[in-house]
Amino acid sequence: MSSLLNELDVLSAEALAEAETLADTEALEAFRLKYLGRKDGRLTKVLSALPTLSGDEKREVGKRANALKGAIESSLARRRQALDDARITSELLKSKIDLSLPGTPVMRGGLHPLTRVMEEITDVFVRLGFSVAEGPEVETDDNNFTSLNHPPDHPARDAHDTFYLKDHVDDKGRPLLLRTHTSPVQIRYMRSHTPPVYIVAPGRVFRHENVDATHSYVFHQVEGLAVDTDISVADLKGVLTLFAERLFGGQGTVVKTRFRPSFFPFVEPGLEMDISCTICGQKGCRVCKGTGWVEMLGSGLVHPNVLRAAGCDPEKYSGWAFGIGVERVAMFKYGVDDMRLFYENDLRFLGNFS
Amino acid sequence: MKISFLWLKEFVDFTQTPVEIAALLLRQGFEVASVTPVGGSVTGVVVAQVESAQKHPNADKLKVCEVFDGVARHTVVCGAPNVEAGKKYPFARLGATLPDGLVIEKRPLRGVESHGMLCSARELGLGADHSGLYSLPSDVVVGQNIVETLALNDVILEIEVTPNRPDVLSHWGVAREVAAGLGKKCKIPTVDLPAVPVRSSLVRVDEPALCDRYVARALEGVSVKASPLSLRLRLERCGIRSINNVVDVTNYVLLEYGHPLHSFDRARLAGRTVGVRKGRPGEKLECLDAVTRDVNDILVIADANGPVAAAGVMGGQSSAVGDATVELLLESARFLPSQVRQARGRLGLSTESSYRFERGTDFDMADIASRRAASLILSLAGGRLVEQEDVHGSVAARPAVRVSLEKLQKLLGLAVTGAEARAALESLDFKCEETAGELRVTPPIHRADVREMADVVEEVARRIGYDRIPGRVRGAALGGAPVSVLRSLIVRGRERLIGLGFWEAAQSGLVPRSLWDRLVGPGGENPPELLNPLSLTGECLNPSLLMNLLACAAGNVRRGNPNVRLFESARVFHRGAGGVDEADHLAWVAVGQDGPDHWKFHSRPLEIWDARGWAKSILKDWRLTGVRFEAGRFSFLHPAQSQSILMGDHVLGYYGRLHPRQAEAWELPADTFVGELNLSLAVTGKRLDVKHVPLSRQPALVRDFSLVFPETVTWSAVVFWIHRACEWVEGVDLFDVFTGQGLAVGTRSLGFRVTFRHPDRTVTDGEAHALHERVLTGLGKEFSAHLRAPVAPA
Repeated sequence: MSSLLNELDVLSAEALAEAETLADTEALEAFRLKYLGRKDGRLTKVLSALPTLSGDEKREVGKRANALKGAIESSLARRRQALDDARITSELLKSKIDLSLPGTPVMRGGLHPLTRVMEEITDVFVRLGFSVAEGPEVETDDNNFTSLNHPPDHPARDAHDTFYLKDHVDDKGRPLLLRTHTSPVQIRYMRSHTPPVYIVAPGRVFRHENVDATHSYVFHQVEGLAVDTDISVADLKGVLTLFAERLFGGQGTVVKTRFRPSFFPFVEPGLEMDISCTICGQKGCRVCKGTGWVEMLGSGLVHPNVLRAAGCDPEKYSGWAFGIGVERVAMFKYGVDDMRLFYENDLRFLGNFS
Repeated sequence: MKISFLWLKEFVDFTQTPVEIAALLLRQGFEVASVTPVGGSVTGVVVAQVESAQKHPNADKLKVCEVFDGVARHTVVCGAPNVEAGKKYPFARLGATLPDGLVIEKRPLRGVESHGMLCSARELGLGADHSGLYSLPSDVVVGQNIVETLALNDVILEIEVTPNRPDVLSHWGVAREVAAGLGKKCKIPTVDLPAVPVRSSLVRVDEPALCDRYVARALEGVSVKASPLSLRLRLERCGIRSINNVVDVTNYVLLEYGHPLHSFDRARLAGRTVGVRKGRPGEKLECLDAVTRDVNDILVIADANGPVAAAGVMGGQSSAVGDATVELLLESARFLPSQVRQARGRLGLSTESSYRFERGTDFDMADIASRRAASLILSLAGGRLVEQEDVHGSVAARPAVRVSLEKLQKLLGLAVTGAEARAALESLDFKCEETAGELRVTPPIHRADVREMADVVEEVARRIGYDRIPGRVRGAALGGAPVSVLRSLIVRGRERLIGLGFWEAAQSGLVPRSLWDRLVGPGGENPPELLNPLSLTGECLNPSLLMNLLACAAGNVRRGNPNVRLFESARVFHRGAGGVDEADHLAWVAVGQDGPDHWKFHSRPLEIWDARGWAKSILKDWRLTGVRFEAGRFSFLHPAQSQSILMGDHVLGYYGRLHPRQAEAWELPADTFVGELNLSLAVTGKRLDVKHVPLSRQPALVRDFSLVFPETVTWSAVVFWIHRACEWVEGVDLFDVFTGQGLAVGTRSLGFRVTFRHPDRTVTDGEAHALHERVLTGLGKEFSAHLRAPVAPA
């Protein structure tokens, strides 16, 4: 009996090792015949000797021989599958193509960079609970100037070279004009809403000036206004600093703000906000003119005369406001060096922003 | 405004550098655009006189000069064309260093040893002039260090003064801010003038409301000549050309004290006196710039014969101070800002004077500046003061501004103490009294801009610095308004077009009338126009977004991009009943192929069906109801390949192929398609709610038809009929349109598939048969349609 069991051990070792070397279907068939062939298969022979054995021996050898048979069959099946896979793969590879060729073009356009920036700015404030307000582009002298504390003949009007309309006058007989800033929306909104007022007003504005790399007779602004019972410079600083961080920060870029006194007739005190130059990390570069700071927006506490003109009692309410130039932000954010590019609508330029 | 650093130092003692002073001014609200040293770093250069200049024995273009530098004589070889015996020049002694790093050494030039160098302006770091030596006037002292003579160590600060602060438009004014920032006091020059009779005959003010003070001083025996070098340099470095010692003094005092003055040649004033009045019809004035201007209704200074100066703007030629002048009438007045502003606008002349008068001058300063100028003239031009007159109204004392400390703290968001606030204000020469939590603040006379509490709040903030105020973030009160319908339509329209391959454009909103005429033909609607257009803007407010889009598309085609898809959402303008009507529009233009050339999938030219698809897609996304399409009614569109889009009785927009004539005019290819929708009208429409329709689990019954129709039958009529006439129709899809061979003239064949689906059960064979028959016979009856041929199974 031990000789038969020894033979099974040898058979098992040899057969399983040989199975792994089978390279094609012919070899597979030869192998099957060699071990499991009906007449001369080596395992068949062992099995055919079983009847000559006694009970215990018969059980033991039978069990081992059948197990080996199963193992050889599954080896064969596995091998057959592997060979088949290899064949299909080599078949498929015959049609190999150059996958560096261009894929099907996807026709998708994109937003204008000024729209993108305007929406980004607006979104920061909307998330803080501000509402979006809009106003007309054709305005009255009163809404654009006088109510905003630019009385007639005030030198501050010099900063606003203005386009006037032919044939159209306001109720005081003064020509209508193209708004020179988005600030008239402050007046319009306050006249029709009672505080608390928290708004942002994006829009297009016009100045009667010639065009060069940094000036345009048309540009965009976003105006912000908060009027409530206890608004202070601290609110202005807090919210505008948060705004600067969200608009220009992120991905490891830290943004600092600096507030300094300035003058805009519709605010008092008036503040200019500078942000740390994120282009050079305040080391000094062409964009920040070596100062490490970039002028970003004008702001301040709403002038009592503006509150009065808009029907708000300055004894009861105070407010802060800001105005930011969208082109300036886009130029800074995207490194655009010529404002005219925004209005040429060259597809190569527009394609940079999607 | 240009400020000389050395001049500034005459008013305040400090050791800070120009850059530090610039930073201080920035913190206090004044941007400094530039800080520019006037010269380079120079040592060992002195004033020297050339005693003789002989031709060099070995060189035609060189001279051998004997030069005296106050200590010794030196032989110097010089190649400058303007070297002249007797003249004074900057002289670099041996060992001197020049701004470019050059060290002067003894060296032979063509055989003659040169002991030093005479210098040009450029060699001293004074600009680019290298055409010859820097010629010094005869009154400079030989041997003086040139750094002192030419104030080479001065630095010019270019300061931007905001329009609310005319009090800072001078060296004294800037000095006050610097002094406040440094905790110091300003030093003001003292002026001693001899006592002279006060006359009441020098000046007559007819318009006291427009001129509330006129200080006149008369001088005799002055000798008009060039100003000393130091004074000329100061004026020139601050941007004012030197004229003569008298005119220069008035400009010097303007730069120093900020108050504009004018000097008349009194001998040339008819009647030897002046009056302040309005110009009369027909009156003209030849101004100092030699241009004659109409001064009717403008405030003028006049003598017995007529206007001699435009008040606060510019003097006249007839009484100008020149070399022959010996008698002066020195004017120091105060004119109403709005008057000067209007005059400046009408005369088209902006001057240093008008700039300051427009922003406001200080009542007291009129006399202070006059005294300073008179005393400087006496010292520079000699002569004597003979009479003076001060015509003025009364100045109402301004009431103190009352500031509650609590309110100050509340507005700043900082618990500033009364003592701190007082210290801040007092540093700026404000007077403060504090009682029971209230400050009574009296601003100095030069601070006319401080009128109410908010102004005082700013002064306190400016002095304590905004850095000290902590930021505070409180979200807005809950209840932000919802996104407006207009906004949401714009956003959805934009998204839809971007998905269709369109790029958003931006345009100015202004357009030349010629482009509008090109689009709609002459005699079309008149859009609103500008009173003062620029040459590049065009004179009309844009009545349609199309013109600029077509122009931009053509620009892209010209630049080599044949396939262009652009859109824009912006305002358009029309003349309305009550003024200008503004509406938000969305417009698009597409040119060329349906995609870029691809190596495998070939592109095809765009067709009207693309344009129709885009328009339908946007409208579907907006879910507007009651929208219908009609035959095109716009002349700039192809009459057959365009439609108007209507909502109710209003034209909501259009889409279509650009008219071939238009395509040619805009230099665009024939395959140009456009569309435009009025968003402001669309928001007034009724929009369908988004609703889920339950899905039927039943199998669909599909039937294909190929029927011949008279050509006059539209596809939409067929679809409409099928939906109306048959039950359970899920969809009607067109797959073939055919005309021509085998079909009668005037007919076309339409191949389409109708999908039926019952919500709850399978459609039985009998029902299917009946539906099929109903379509066939119904369309036959309704539209005279008949079977073309059986459609081959797919």
